[in-house]
This record gives sequence, C-alpha cells and structure tokens, in this order.
Amino acid sequence: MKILVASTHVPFIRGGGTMIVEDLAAELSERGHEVDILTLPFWSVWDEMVEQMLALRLINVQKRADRLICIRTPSYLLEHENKVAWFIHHHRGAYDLWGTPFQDIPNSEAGMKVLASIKAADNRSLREVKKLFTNSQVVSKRLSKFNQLDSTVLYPPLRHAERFHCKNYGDYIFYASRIATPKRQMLAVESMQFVKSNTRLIIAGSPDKPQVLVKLQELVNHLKLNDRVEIRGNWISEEEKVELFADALGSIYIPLDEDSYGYPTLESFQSLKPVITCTDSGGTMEIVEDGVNGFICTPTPEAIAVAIDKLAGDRAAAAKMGEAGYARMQAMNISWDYVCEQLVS
Amino acid sequence: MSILIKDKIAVITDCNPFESTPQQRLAEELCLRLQEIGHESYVIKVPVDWHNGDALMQSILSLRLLKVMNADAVVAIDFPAAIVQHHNKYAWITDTTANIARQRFEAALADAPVAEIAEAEQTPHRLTVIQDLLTKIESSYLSECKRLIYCHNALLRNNDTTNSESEAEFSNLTNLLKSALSKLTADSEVEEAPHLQNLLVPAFEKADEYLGRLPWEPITTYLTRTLEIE
Repeated sequence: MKILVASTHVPFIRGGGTMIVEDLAAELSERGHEVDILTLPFWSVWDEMVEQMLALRLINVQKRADRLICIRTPSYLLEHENKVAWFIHHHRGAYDLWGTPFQDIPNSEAGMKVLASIKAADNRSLREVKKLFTNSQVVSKRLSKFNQLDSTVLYPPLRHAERFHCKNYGDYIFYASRIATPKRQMLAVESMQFVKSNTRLIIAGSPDKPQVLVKLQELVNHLKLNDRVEIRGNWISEEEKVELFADALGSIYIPLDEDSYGYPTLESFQSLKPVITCTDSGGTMEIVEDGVNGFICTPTPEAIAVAIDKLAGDRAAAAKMGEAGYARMQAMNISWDYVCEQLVS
Repeated sequence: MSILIKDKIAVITDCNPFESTPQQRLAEELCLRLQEIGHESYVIKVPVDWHNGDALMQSILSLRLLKVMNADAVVAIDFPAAIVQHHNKYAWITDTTANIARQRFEAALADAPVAEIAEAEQTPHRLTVIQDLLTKIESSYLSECKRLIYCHNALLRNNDTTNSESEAEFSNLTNLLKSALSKLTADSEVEEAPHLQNLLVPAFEKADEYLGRLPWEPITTYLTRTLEIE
C-alpha cells in the first residue's frame, strides 16, 4: 500500500512528536508498504494559526497515496478520501487549557474568532477520517468531551525497543527528555537538595531554548549541587541514552500535565528500571502504578526526594519494580505490529 | 551581524510525494552542505499540484500562507517554493517562472489520467492566463528576497518592477483564489486571509543535471557570507 504519513512540526525542534512520525514510517516500510513522510511547518501562535490552517487545507495530496495517516494537529486538515488520524493532542490552549493561565488565545474579538476557527476546523476535518485513533485515554476523553468524537487508543511503542537493556542498578536517577519548562527538570534538580542517599541525577536532552538550559545550570550552581547533578544539554545519541538507562537505578519523568506516557517511560521499563512521576504529570498515570512499577509523587521536591531514596534504599525492590514495568507494557499491547495493523487495515 | 555558527537555515522546496524531484535533491544536498559548514539546516518539502492552473494557484496560496518560524533564514529552491514568506529569505533560481510552469504542466499531464488531460485541454486559456500572471508578478516575489542566487544558465533579471505596477494583477489573482478560500471560511467565520495582496513568484528548471558538478564550495561560502541576520 502507498501510505503518506503527514504531520506538522516546528522546524529544528525534535521530540516525541517528530519521533512518532519517523518511527511509524519506518515500521510501515519494514512491513512492505511504500511510505513517504510529509512534515509541514506549523507555528502555534494564535494570530497566525488560521492562515496556516488554510495553507494545510489547500495542499492537495488527494491522489498521491492510497492512505493518508495524519499525526500532529492540525495535519488532518489535509484532504484525502482514505484518511486516518492518529491524534496526539489538540491545540490545548483552545480546549482544556482555555480559562487557565495556559490559555494562549486572548478573549478579544479577534481571539474568539480564532478560537471558533480552530474548533470548526477540528470538528469538520476530524469527522472526515475513516478511523480516529489517539495516543492515550486522556486525549480520547478530550475528543469526546470537546468534539463529541469517539476514538480508539493506540499506544505509541518504542522503535527498536530491544536495544534497551539492564546492566545494573547504579547510583543515579536518569531524566531523559527534551529540556523544556513543561518537562520540569527544574523540579527534579530542586528535589536533589532533599535526597539523603548518595544518589545522583543525570539530565540529558536538547533544550527548547538556550535560556532554559542556562537557567537549569544556574539552579544547579545556586543549590551547590554540581557534584550530584549532571546536565548533558544536547540531543544525546541513541547509544548514549541506552547506556545511561542500562546503568541507572531508575528514571524520572515528571512533565506537567502531558497527554501521553512519554517515550522516556517506555525506555525506562524496557531497561527494567522503575519510573518516578508526579500526580499531575497526566499520561504517565496510564502506565505507572504507584509502588508497583514506580512511584507517583505529589509534585514537590521533598516528595520526589523520598521516592528517590526509597529506590536507593532497596535495590532489589527497584529491580522488581522495573520488571513489573516491563510486564505492564506487554499487558497494554504496546507493539508496532498492533499499531501498523490498526492504522492500515 | 554576520551569521553565527549554528544559525538555523531552512531550505524549502516543492515536492511530489513518493518521488524525488531535482529540486528536492538539490535542497537535500544544500542542506547537507550547510550542516557540513556548521549550520543547523532542515529541508521543508511542500507538495505542489501542477495538473491545471487552478490547482497551481491553490498550491501557490498554500505556500504563501505557511509560516516558516524558528528559522534565522530561509533558502528557497526556485519557483514556487520561494513564494513562502520570511523576513530573511534567499532564493536559488535556475530558470524563469514561465519556463518552469510550462515544463511542470507538461510533465504533470504526461502522467495524468485521460480524464484530467481532457479537462485541461478544454480550458487551455487558463494555463495561458496563469503563465502571463506568473511572469508579471515574478519580479515582485523576487524583490522580497534578500539575495537571489542564479544557477548556471539562469537569467539575470531586473527586479526593479514596483509592487504598485503589479497591483491589478494581484487583484486578479486574489479573485481567482477566492473560491479556494471559501473552503474553510464557510465554517470558520474568518472572512479572508490577510497578506494576499502581496502575492509572489520566481523561476527554475531541471537541476539534477547540475547536481554532482555544482561548485558547492563557492555556493556555501557565498551563502554564509550573504546570510546576515538583521
């Protein structure tokens, strides 16, 4: 089958949203399909969004492929008679974050028009799809609540998951993620001042903006944690990441209210390492079970420090939790065979 | 200020999914060369429909409405990619807009189903109208660019034509695009997309015959020297 995988992104920013597109295309290719990727720039600034939405709508890919699979919002504006969406998030400032400090569209007359446009475009184009999948229960619930649409959860698996392995349960907690304010690496650093064991924290990932990295390093310096917190502020190689997981005691993934469980969570479980997350992290709740395969903490430095010390205090228990995490992934049917079958059938 | 190491340069080109066009290969090669000399570089590919005049106009509008943000500079490979808006836009031109359009229409029709060819033949005047329009507004688009880089036999053209002289053509074009606009506006309450008065255009031709023997070193040096962040 000729399959076009379409998505949007902000040029030069890599993360889960770009990885899912590349991974899906590669997995479909391996299953014998002819696949091409169409990644269009999209900048989610409220007063420039409608023009860009129109741009997507005007791009004609109708006869270019047998199937169009759309991923990041609002790539599903593209028209195709055999369109499927793997919907990973709304423009949240127009939906669940409306009326919160994260609302990114003003209440002005112009803002309300943009808001109406986003909702009208979503409601219309998401009803054009043959099948509607999401990446998490959180997102499915939102589609139901805000757009009155039913959808099926299709959990995004890891690519080449077998690379991840466990060597031992070392002396550090690993935070592997893009370095950005919503990922709350700052909170992870702050927690280290309350950790009683001699556990270290290694943070690795590319920063969204250079200032974020500077601020994070300044916090480490300010708290005099330089010997306990290491920041690798670049997009680390896959090999380096695999090795860092292999030797970690456990991992931490504490984004603020994120939709999906996040690749770092899967990478950790695949490496048989427990995951520390927070009660307000969102999608991680769907896979992390408190005390079973990790810890779900209140989002305070003190609570996170307690979780880190618990892992350090009983490495055998940490190992068991890591294994439980692996088992949980299997139980949830997180596999590319399943994903490809669902998207193509 | 001269361009800094690791400035972000987006290279934009039109594309045809599942095919590798000469422009696409040129863009990808340029992207690699820019990375080699220390820049962050990324290729943006936008499908363009050449099957008839209206389809091309729709594609042109989509390119014009896209925002290439988070890039310090944009290098567009030929028409119609260079229609994209950016405050720091450079174009690499290999032929006139008219030549490019003619070649692409012919290529698209050569592969098209019989019904599409018949449809195109029934409305031959459309292609003529659009070719005239493209030629007339070519210099306006060219004048938006900070630098134009002409490829080999590309013509060096005068870009002094003012936007006001092309105003009538812009109006015609805007009218032509109204039907395309109505697609979303019916639902979205947005009455019209802004910036349409500023429309477009440039030129090119088959670049693959040059690829492999292009003088890459002077090209990348030239780009580095001329990409000044203001």
